[in-house]
Amino acid sequence: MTFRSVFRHNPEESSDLTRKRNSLRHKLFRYMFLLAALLIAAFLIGLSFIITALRQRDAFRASLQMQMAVFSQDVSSEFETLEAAGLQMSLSVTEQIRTYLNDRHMTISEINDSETDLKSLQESVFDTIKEKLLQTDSSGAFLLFDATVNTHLEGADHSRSGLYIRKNSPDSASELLLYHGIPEIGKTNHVMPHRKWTLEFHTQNLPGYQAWKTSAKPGSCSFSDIFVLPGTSDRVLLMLFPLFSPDGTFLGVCGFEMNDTFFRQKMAQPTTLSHLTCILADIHNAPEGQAPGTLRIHSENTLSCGSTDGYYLAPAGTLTVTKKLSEKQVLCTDRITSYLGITEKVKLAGSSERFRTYILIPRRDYRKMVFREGAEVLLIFSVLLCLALLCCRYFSRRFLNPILKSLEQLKNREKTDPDEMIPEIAELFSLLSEIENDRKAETSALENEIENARKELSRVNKEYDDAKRELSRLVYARKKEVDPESYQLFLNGLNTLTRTEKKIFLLYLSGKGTREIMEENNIKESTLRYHNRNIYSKLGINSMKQLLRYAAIMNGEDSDSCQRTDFF
Amino acid sequence: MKKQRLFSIFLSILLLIGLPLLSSCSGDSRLNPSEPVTLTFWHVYGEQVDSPMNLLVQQFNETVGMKKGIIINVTRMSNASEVGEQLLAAQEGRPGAGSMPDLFLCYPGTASLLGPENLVDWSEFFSQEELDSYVDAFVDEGILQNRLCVFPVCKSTRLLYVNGTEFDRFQADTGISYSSLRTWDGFFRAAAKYREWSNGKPFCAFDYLVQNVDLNAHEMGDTQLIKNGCYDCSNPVLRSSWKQFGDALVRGDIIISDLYANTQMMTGEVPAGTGSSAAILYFNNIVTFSDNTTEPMNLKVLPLPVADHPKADSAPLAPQTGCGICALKTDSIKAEAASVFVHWLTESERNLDFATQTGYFPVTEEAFQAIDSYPFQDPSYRSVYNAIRLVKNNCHFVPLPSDSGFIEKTNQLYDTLRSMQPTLNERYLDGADPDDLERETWEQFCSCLGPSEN
Repeated sequence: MTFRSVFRHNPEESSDLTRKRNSLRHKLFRYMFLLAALLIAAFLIGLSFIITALRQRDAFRASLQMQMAVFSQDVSSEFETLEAAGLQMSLSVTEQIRTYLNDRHMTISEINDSETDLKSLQESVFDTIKEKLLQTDSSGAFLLFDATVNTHLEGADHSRSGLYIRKNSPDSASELLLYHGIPEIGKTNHVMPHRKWTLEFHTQNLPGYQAWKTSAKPGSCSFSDIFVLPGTSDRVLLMLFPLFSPDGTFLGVCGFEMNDTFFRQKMAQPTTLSHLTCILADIHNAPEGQAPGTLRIHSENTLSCGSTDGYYLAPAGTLTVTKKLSEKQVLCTDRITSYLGITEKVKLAGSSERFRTYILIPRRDYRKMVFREGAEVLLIFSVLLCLALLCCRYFSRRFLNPILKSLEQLKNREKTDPDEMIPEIAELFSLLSEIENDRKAETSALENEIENARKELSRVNKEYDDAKRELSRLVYARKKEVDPESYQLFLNGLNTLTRTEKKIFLLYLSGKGTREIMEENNIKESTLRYHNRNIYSKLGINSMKQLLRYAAIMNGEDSDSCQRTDFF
Repeated sequence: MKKQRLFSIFLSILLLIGLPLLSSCSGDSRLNPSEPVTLTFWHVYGEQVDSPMNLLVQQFNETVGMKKGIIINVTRMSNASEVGEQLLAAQEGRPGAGSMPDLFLCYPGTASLLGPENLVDWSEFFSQEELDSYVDAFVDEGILQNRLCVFPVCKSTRLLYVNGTEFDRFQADTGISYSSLRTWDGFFRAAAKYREWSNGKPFCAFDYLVQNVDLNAHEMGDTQLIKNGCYDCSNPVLRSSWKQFGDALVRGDIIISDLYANTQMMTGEVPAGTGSSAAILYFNNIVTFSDNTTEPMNLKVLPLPVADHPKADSAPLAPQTGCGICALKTDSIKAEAASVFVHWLTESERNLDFATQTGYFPVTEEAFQAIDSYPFQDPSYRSVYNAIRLVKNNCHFVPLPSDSGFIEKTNQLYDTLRSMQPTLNERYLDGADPDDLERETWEQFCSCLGPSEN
């Protein structure tokens, strides 16, 4: 046995295999299997899409949480930095004030009404304030002495001398402006007066200042309410650091300002969420624990920002929590739109109960996302349905086309190589062929029988004709043997027979004997003889033999010319 | 065939259902309220103070913007000069400059430097009929390289602001009245007298001194002050015009403002200042002195003085200033959104209301004419618009030079003169020749704004 012989191609085996492979059952199995596999694959892919789509909500919530964490961290970090810088600034300026007062053996109250001392003090701390402002991400820095340049003026108790320097814009290279303070000092240091400059700060403009001053402790950090800086549209949150002398005398206050423009620009969040609004809300005027739907935060008490891609829509009017979806998730509305978002308390510079952060997106965005999910699922189902239909259509065509083709070939009597044909169709072809052959054989046998019958008929007809001719010949011969007149008399006499006589006559002609005639007619022999005599008499004959002879002649003539038919 | 038709119908239905999910196109507008487009906006209205423009933006966002899907986000408010510098810095990508805004206010000169091809051509969004409803001169000013790049929002002129309380005292003592301030001669005589009366205080702070010199020279009859983009320093009329101002500077009768004249008036440093009509937005109604005492400003607003000997057939001139709005050319949606905002912003009634809150005059013909009968409640605003009416009805508006770098050069001159001022005054008081001192100022003028030596 050679290697080649082992793998030698066996045409018969190959043909069997091909036939098997081409069989309808195998084809149907293959197509069904492929269809099922495709549908399962499509279903799995669709399922994964659907799961992905449905997970968008979870991803969205996770994004909100992540954004909240980042925003809260940014805000905390920003204010922690300001707190640290503020404490340093307070220590530094406290020391400068203390030194100035000690050198002149003065107290803080003794510099009231002294333009010179206040100017000198402002000059001495100017660089510190300016430096801290430039070092930090704040929109302004200030130092107010607990003194005024003119105690004789109305409202002098609320007027405090000091420096208030602001950045004109959040840019790092922004120019500085002197909002409060002695203009000459500002100009000397290239800080020009603000458009709405005033010499001193009116503490009445700072909500809660008197209460804060009473409770302030050395080294502490506090926040003002968010309020609009007089003369501007800037809403500001001030960080306040009290200044105390070693003996506990209140010297004044320094701190930083964070205004809404600055907050908006510096806190803008990089995000994947569309239309993000981040809010830092001062909630100490909106106590926790209110029933849902009653928690209201005035936008005036908030600082807010958008995203770094430029989107920002400030909350308008009152932000009302309309529904708490969970501990953190809320639905809320303002004057122009409704939001979905999360909120949590945020600890700023040691104050853990004062502020809340909100991460909000317009509710329509969320609805759109949900709708899109539904639409995606619907679309996926539609695509799957289409795919299933297309597959069914494709496979049914693939499956049916060869059958239809074969039937067409069958209809057109085309011959095909059986190896190329579907085996079942080939078998059908074979079966039909056998049936046709059987039918042909039966037809042939029937044709032979018909032919034989035809021949027999022909032979019988021929014999009949022969017999007929013989009969004619015999009639003719008999006719010649009988007396024509007697025969004519016989024929004429037939019409004179009564019904009974005719009946008896015909019985005689049919070969019946006298006994049979008597039984059949239920008559006596005498009656029969009576009728016989009448018949003989009317026909002019004298014996049964003569009667039968004339009758035979008459029948022979009738078969030729159909005479006497009316008699019978 | 029937089955195929049924199958096609089924597919068509599926497509009909699916297409809207795949496409959000609808109508001609590409704006989509559910996908709002955000336009960052730098403007110059209300820097440092309560900005009427910000209120308008808020109103737009809450109404038309909400309906059409447009959000205007004001990311910078400053003066035109600073905005111009920041725009150029942003376009060049200088560190810390930030990115270019989608919408901004700037002078045509700045727009020219930014490149008209980089800006939206507003004429694509305004029909000819719409454009015809605006004051022609304001629209023409914004056309650069045949493209309407700078669309007029509102315009201003320069006016003379006077602390009425202080001037009344001065008038009572010296007899010099407001009518003395109608011409530059009278103005400078009053300024000299005031310095004498007040023991050395300057009378007036100038925000835009060069503009006054320029217009004065024009009124004196010479219209060819600029050659090759620079002032012609050999022009005797220009020299003569400058000398009036230079002499006053040297004597200390007038000063270059520190930043804005109005702040120096608020601190009582000067009783008068020249500045934009829009400066009214920034004025306090009191003057605060170093002991924290205050007195009412009683602000009087007058047209700028005019030349003493104007050319026979020339009308008094008044500067036509004010930025226009530009949109950065980015994509068609933003351009359409910007167009919607500008259409809304410049509707006659809104334009008039905005202009009258900010000391500007409106840009539509209808609103521009309506100024004459507009009722003002605030006395300061009434005073400003009385002056504007006088200017509007008696003077010929002249657009000021806004060639590339002009603002920067004038700012450089002001910085130089501001730093020279104390020394010049000292030297003058020490007996130095005033003509020599004045010549030094002229040299600085020519150095900054004259032809370069190269």
